[in-house]
Amino acid sequence: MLNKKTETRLRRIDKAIIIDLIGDVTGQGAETIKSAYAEALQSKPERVLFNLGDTEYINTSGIAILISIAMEAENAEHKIEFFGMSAHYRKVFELVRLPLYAQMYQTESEALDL
Amino acid sequence: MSRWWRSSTLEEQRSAGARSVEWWRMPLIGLLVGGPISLTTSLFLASYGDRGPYGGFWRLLFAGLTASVPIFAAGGLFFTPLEIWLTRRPRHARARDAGMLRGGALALAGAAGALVAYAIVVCLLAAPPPATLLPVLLVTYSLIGAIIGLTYTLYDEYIHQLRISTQLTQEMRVARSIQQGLFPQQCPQIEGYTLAARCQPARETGGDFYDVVEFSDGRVGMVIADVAGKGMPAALLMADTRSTWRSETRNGHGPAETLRNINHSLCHDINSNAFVTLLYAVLDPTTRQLCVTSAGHPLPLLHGRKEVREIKVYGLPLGLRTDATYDEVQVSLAPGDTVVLYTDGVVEAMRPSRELFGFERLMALVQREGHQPAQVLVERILATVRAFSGQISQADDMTVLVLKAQL
Repeated sequence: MLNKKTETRLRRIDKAIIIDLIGDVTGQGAETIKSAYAEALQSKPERVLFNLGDTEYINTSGIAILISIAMEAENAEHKIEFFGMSAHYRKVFELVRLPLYAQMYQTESEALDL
Repeated sequence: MSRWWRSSTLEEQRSAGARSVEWWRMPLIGLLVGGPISLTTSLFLASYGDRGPYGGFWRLLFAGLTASVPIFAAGGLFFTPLEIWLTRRPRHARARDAGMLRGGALALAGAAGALVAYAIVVCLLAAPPPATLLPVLLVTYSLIGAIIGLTYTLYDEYIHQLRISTQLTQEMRVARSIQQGLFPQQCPQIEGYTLAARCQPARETGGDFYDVVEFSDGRVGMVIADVAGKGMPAALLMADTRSTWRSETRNGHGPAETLRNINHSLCHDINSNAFVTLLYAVLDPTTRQLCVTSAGHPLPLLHGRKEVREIKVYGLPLGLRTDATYDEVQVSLAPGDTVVLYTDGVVEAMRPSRELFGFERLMALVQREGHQPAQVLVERILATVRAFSGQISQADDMTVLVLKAQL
């Protein structure tokens, strides 16, 4: 199976920056995702949210990348947030204890309606 | 200290200077240059033969061939230092330099050949040759030279890459064979239980593994794990994790403490973009208790008499934080109960439409087939997932381990 390329798009909504992860989240997309996160941090937003609504597939290496970003954020004393993931990946995130390091929401509106 | 009889490693072959210049290469190049020159010269002379002082097709052909002999020698002499210099170039620069230098040098050799051929024609013909003959010969011979130089370089690179590819394939086969040797040759016989397992890697080598240990007090420990990634890097980490697990099980600690120690050790071996999910279960056949602990691994399924349920045990994957701790869950196994352990490659197998096999399908399958003997259930799960994926190639390693309490 050929993986789709990981693409990112940054959006600013009020004081939050949303990183849309498009395609497949795999080890090959590590640099792309980390660069997008670093770019998002440059403007010192209050919140950084990852949108997984357009993500088709996340493999183990992809989950490792998301966990490492979440742990890095926690070490810097702020939490990243995720929304839009399918029920399958929500369950996978719970298995690897990602909710300990990042907030989870179902949808973008739920995530922003705080 | 390097020894002349020592076979070179792949890395050495990749590095500069590993290839020697074979003695036959230079005359061959000379022949490739001289051959077309000789042939075209001779044909040209043959077509003007009747008007020449020497006359006769064969005599002119002989004259043309003889005249090109110095070109062969010159070609060989010309290219020997060039080829030696090329072998000393770094690997990444060699193909580019070789293409340009061989092409350019052979174009020059072709031009020299054209001058020789023109001189022969002038000497042999009674009448002056056509005015366009010299530029035509120069362009033609130079182009032939350049094309031969580039073609030879492409062929040379192709052969070199083929050698590397063949060696890599052989090394991967050996690695696969070594890795297969790390799996239990057969699952142990446990009184009152049957145990079966199979790992199906996506590539020659994989990051999944399972293993079983028998303790002196009759308990049996079983592990299933998945290293993030695939191929050789995952295989190396898999071997490291397995050996750490084996070593830790000898210390007599409980599953949670064992996992904590393995995690502590692996945190030093794993880079930031990797982790290992692992599920470790210890069965006490006398009390029928199964003690389960997990490091981010998919939840095991318990097929009881009425339903299938997940054994809810969670934990941080191994290699992420040195201070991670793990919980234990105790499960009482009734006769006929079946426990299914699996890696994520099973539930994340995809259809061509990119639909995942998913947790629900696996639960339904175990609900339907859970009464089967352990080995049959293992094979049925893998076969069902393969059928689900259809023609699509397996993306991730798949491992299934089944423990069945006999009735």
